[in-house]
Amino acid sequence: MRLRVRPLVAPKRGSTPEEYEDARWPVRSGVHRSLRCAVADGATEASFSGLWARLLVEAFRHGRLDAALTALPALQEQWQAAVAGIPLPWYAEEKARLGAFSALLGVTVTGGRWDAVAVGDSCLFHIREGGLLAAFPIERAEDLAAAPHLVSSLPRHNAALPAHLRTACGELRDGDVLYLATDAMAGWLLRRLADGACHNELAALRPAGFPAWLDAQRDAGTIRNDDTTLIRIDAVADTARL
Amino acid sequence: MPYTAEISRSNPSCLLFLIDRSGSMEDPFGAGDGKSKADGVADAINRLLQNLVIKCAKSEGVRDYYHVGVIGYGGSTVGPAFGGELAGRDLVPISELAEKPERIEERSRKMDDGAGGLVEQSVKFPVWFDAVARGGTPMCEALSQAERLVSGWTAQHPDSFPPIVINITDGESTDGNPTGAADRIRSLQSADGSPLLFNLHLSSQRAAPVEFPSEESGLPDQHARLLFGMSSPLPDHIRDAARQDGYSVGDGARGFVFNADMVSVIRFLDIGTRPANLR
Repeated sequence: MRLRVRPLVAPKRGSTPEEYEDARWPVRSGVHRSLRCAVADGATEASFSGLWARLLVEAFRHGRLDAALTALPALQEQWQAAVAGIPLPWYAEEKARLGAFSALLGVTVTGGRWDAVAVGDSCLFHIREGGLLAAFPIERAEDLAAAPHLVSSLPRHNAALPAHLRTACGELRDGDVLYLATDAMAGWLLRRLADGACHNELAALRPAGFPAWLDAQRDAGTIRNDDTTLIRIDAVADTARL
Repeated sequence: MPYTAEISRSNPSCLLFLIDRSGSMEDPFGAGDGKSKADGVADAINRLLQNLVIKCAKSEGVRDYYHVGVIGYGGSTVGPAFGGELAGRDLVPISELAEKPERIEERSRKMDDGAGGLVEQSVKFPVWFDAVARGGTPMCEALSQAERLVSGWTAQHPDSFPPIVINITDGESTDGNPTGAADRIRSLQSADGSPLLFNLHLSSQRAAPVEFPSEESGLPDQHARLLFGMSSPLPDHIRDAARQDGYSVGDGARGFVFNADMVSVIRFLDIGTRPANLR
């Protein structure tokens, strides 16, 4: 089995690409035999959240972040060291003192199996033969909370983290599709995947055309205006042409 | 549905504060340790502005999600209350407010150290307003000025989240019953609903604090009941955010607090993902 990966990204409308606070791995399309992939969604209402999201994704990518997030203290120190070195006006100093926050979804795909860990509202979807096999960690659009519990860059905000850490696994077959999505896109998928009608629309999406597709959805009011990241992974048989 | 407009830099909202600076504010504040109500007003407005600025702050600066004004009322004076470089301005972008406090004080605060203990930290506390108390309480005139400001702003921003007016007072109006002026603010219209009027009542009474009540029956005096009656019901998303934050608010909860803090309202404003564990 090979894994064809296609990340699709777009910043919130009205924001610049530099203000995009999601993070992902892989960054670019490609084909892999096995893969550690992740999306993280830095919270708008905190500062230096993009940096925190990138640190989480990088750590997961390199296998430094296990399913229990035991390496979190080292990442928190890294975040604090990076922020402490920046001269800031009073408001940015006070904001940084509150810490950064991010949702994290990490998925390891290898040997016909996926294992996922999640905190917050970034979601994994497993599709087989056009049907939704699994949605993780949130299964209904109405369960996407306005204020999700997220991973913080400060230990004092993570006391309840173990209660919010979710894990799941599944078997992956040739022809299956996985989606990793940050919350706005996850909401769209949760509403649309049940009817199975959106698979062709999603399959046709390419990185260059994704921002325009997203803007059309925003105009139609079917997706919330937010930084948006979607990674599509196709499990392709060794015998199939790519 | 009303109160669903996105608040963004291209579609900002408006927060207008009215602060009672009348002579009656020299009286002791029921919830303060020897403080006057005027001290309570100064604390309340400085903390509200500080929290609003920090809410809108990002690593690169403050994003202009809000235009902010402060009208002071006391004696024969009703009008914009900013001092220093902002003197005479009625509504200013929040980023400008962030850059121009009157002064910045260093205060110490005990913080959770994440390991079950407390650690003392030095924090920066900006001060825009000091305590002032003189003359009568022209609340009707203050509300009328607020109506004109809010009406003009709404005409310029017809698709924005409606303005929120927060009145901080002891409720003892001396230029008539303010209910009519309050009604006029709450009956203005925009595409996303009517402006919201919230009241923060600072009283000399040593009665228990009340936050976002649904009915007036438990309120301690006629001033509290008057201000409750003038206050808008909380929109659904603010009520839901309050519940998620642990407040016990009923379906008819209003934007009114008695001898309590209204900083929580700033937390409930929706400008993007708000982590549940950010306190």
